[in-house]
Amino acid sequence: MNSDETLWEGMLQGDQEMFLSLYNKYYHTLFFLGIREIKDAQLVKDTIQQLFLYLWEKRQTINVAKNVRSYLVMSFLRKLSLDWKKNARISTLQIVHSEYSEDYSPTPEEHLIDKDQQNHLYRLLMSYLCELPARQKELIILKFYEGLSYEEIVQQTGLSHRTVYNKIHEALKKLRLDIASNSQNNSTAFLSMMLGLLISYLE
Amino acid sequence: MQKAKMEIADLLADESFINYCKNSSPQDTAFWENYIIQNPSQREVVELARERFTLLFTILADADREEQAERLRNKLNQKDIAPVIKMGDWAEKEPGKKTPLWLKLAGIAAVFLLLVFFSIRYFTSSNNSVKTFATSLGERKNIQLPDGSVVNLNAGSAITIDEHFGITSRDVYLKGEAFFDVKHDTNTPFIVHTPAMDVKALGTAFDVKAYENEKLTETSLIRGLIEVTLKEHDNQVLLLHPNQKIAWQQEFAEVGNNNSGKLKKKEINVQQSMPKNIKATDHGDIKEIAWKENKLIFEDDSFSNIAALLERWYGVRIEFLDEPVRNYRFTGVYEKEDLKTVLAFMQESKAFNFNITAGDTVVVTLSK
Repeated sequence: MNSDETLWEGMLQGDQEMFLSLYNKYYHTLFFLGIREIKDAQLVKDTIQQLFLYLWEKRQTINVAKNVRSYLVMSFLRKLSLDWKKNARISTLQIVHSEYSEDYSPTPEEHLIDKDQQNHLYRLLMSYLCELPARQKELIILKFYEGLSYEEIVQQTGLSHRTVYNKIHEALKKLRLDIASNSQNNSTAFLSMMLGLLISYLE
Repeated sequence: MQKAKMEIADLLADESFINYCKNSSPQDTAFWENYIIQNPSQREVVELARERFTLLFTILADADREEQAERLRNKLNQKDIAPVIKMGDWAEKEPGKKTPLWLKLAGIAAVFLLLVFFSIRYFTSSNNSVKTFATSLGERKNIQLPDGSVVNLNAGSAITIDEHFGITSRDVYLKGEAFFDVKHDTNTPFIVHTPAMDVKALGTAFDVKAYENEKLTETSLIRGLIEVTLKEHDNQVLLLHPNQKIAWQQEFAEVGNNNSGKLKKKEINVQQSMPKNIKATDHGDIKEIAWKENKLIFEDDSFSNIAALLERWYGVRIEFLDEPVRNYRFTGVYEKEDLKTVLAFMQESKAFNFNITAGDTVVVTLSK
């Protein structure tokens, strides 16, 4: 993977692919930072979009960033806090920038993202997700991706606590999370076969 | 928390367990670590549940990032060719406020299968140039057609267009129910085709309901002017004015010898080729298009009609064990309620029993 500096330089040169790689690289960092401050995923997503569109449009006049990560994080949080105030839902909210200085560490969620998950189980679960009714899908996203608590989901959706819980539970059952992946089955089968061979050999 | 046997779904629905998976609360982490020690037999299921949490989270995160990247890419290329059909925006109330996470995912599984299914079924000759958009039960979608017209597709429905769309006319083939907001273009008429009627519009907003498993085909006009052709009534053509609707009821009557077991199709249509007026309810809702606003409206409707609606709305199956219940009639408006609540409210006006089974089947019986 290209370094931040290479991607940034590519963006300044007008290389769209490099620019999109930079976006893909930092999307989750910014998203989870944002959602931690503001429980409004759409606002967070829009702010990320606008930040990157701004970067792309102004690429000819942008200063060289010393540290790409901290440049992105700082401008994002500044913009997010402005956008949030513009929405005027809470005017007192202030995002503290200094907290995320140059040695800022990634969010715990980031550790979870393994780029090499394109296995059987991944696709299977994805297809089950697709089959969920829209409402259940939405709740699963709120709970497991955006990380809202039940109480926050109740406030956002206007559904009752009971309904939210039941629908999530129901959806989780439909996702058949308890099935074993094929690869696991195969390796178990393989192991037991080897074990059998070994035992017969010892006898 | 000390249940004898916890399943993955039970664990993952638990707030404190999710916190443990995310390592976001020291108390919850301590609790679950202690739980494993106290209940060694549960260790395996707890560990598997944590793994599955990670997987689920990763899939959701990937899907969102890809969808957002697509959005950014489209914006960058706006001056180039716009995508032919934009799907998504299934949040009806605030367009643009909520964008779908499933653009990418939806193409892969169920919807893709439906697409292939309908394409092959309808256009075996040239199925590569045909586009079908379908919704499963309990799902709704907004679709933007190449000409800029917007289609709200209700649950369990599908629309198909082909490569000729927009050249001399704009032909859309509909199964199920959809609301059309048609972009004005006098030169290329917009025609919705259903088995029982064709609806031709110039620039207007209207709803067409033509579910395969229902006898009724119905078109309601909200704005503009449309021309409806009743295909099964000597192609009679009639004009619909705003706030009028036309319904075509297909009746199947049993004719002749019962023993032969043969059913002969016979249409009984009495004065039904006349437009009726659409009335708003006391609260100003229009029943025909309330589904767009996420509202369920019953107006002296029979339980069997309501059941068909609920089946699509919630993606369930409803079985009547006692026939008389089918003819119970109900009136009511429900907004954003879950199935149980709706049924419970209905119980208050007429007594019946229901039981929702694990397989998403609702069994309705007479109350004892």
